[in-house]
Amino acid sequence: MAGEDEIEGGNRGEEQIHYNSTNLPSDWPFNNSNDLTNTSSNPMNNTSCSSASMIDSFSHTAPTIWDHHPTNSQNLGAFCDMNLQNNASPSSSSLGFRKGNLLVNPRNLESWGPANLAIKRGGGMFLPPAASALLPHTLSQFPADSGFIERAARLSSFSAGNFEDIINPFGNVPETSLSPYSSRSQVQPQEGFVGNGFKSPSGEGSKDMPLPVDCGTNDGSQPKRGGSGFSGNNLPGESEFSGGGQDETSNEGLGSKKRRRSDQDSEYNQVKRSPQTPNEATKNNNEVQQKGDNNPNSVTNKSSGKHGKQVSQTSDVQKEEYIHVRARRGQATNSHSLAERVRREKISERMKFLQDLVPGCSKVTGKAVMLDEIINYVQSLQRQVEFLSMKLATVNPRMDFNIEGLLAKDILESRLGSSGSLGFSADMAMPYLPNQSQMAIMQGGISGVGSSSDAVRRTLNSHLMAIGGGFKDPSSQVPSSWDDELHNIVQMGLNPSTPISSQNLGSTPPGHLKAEP
Amino acid sequence: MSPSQQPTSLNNPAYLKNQFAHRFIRALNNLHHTKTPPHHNYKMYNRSTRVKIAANTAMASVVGSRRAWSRAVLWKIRKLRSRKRVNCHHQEKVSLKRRNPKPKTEDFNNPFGDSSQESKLRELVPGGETLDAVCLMGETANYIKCLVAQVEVMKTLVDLYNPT
Repeated sequence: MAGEDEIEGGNRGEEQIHYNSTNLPSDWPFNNSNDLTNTSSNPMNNTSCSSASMIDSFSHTAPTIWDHHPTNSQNLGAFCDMNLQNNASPSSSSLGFRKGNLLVNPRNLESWGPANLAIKRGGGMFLPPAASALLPHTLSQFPADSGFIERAARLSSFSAGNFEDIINPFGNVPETSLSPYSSRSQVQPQEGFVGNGFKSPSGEGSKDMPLPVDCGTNDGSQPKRGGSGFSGNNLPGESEFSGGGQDETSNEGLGSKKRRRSDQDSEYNQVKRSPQTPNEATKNNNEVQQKGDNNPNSVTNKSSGKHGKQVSQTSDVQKEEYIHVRARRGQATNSHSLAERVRREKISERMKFLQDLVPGCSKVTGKAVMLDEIINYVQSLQRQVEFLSMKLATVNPRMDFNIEGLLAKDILESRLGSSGSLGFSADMAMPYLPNQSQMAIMQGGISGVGSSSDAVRRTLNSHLMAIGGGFKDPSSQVPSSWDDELHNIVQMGLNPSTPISSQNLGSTPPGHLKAEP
Repeated sequence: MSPSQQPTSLNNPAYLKNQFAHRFIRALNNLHHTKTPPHHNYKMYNRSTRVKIAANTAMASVVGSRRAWSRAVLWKIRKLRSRKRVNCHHQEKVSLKRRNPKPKTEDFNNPFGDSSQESKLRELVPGGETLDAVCLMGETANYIKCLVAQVEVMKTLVDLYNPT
């Protein structure tokens, strides 16, 4: 099985190339849509052929279809060209075990029969001799290989269901087959067989070479779905689809769903994808409406109707989930508005962050007011800087600035600010008022202790300042190493006194005032 | 002592303040010892603006070039210095003139509805003229943080040296 898969995978590529290179030019003039449909469906068939699990699930439906459309033999004639297209290229390109595919393809034709018939009639009965020659061949092999037959039948439904995925360039993950989108696309096939078939020509059937590979992955993960999709849920699917085909929004929804499902997909794909959906959908819609009445498949398929319902339900649930991820109902889903929404979300998130920074802004609601607050706050801060620099400019020029004094002061102040009862820095506590008033309340009791150590600190402070000034006066620039050293000393010395200053110079281990120089 | 290598520590306000204090005090000392302009009035004005510039520069250099606003400030300072060097005998006029005073046209899909506020904020935050709204918010937040630290340190300094 695995080996086969590998071979399949390997062959698929060349086969595809063959398709596009050989079949398209020859068959294009006569029936584009079918041709493309086949090209896209064939790889699917191949891959699903390789998966045996499909066989049993589909065994019951296949005969019914087959029986139900004995008339298909005529159709087969018409379809033989399709078949031919399908079969010819694989047989030309690949191994003997492609025969399985050959068998599959007629089966597909059978199941497609009703749907395709109309097309064929429109397109003209086309019976190339090669097709007729091929037909008996495949038919003769039919009875011999029942498993393949069943597989083929299943594949037919499958391929239709998966057309979406085929078209869909990002059907790369198995989860995609589980996604609402693919399940929905399986709803389509029953009536919309031809419609789906049409889709691929309108879409990327011709230009997307890598698609089949993706389809293969989808196929592998989809076996159960395929069976149910084939049998069941035509009516809901039809109604839904015909409704959806007409209006732009639902089409958009389709596209957006795809977008959502494959987040990892590139924007390019999305963009490429979205314009196509309307066309496809409308086409499908037309086809569905055409076929809806005269499609015998719907009757046949009711045999396993419950299955289909289940699937549709699950698909609905999944759809809802996906809708909730990005765009809510009524929101625009084109890429521009999505990007705009993301941007707005980012802005509001940062505004929230800013709200925490700006005091008194947390109560404010509304962006305009908040912006006003922020602007005011920034302005006030800048004015404060100006004012403080003015004050600093008036400092006695003989006095030198030193980091030690500042640090000592900083530590001291934070401590004092927190224990605001010390008269020494009544005004010093002011700048830290918002932060430290609470601290002051908390640590009013410690103020007594603080006052005793405060004298020491003050003397130390002045001492250090003197030292710093003395050293700095001759050479205006004190070596930074010295600065650092002193700063360390000061910190060592002063930190103990500030177990309280939790905010300003954060980690201050308590308890060694005696280590002072 | 290389703040640009430790971006995470910049979130720590204590570290920010420490770094800023070091730089600012060094700049103040430089300022102290280099110039003694003759006229008192003029001198005061000059000095205060220079102190302000020194403070802004110190803060911006602490933050480094990671932030748009600090980059803008540093760039302005460099510009100022080069201009000062050109006409060195002129008393430097400290008008932090905007290089590109026109804010980038963000009128389309303006999230705030009121672009006047946003443009005001752009003028307040250095380097905000060229930012889009999202970046502007982030820069504003960081700028406010740094300004708060700067103000606190400067207040401490003022209290230290101007005990009234």
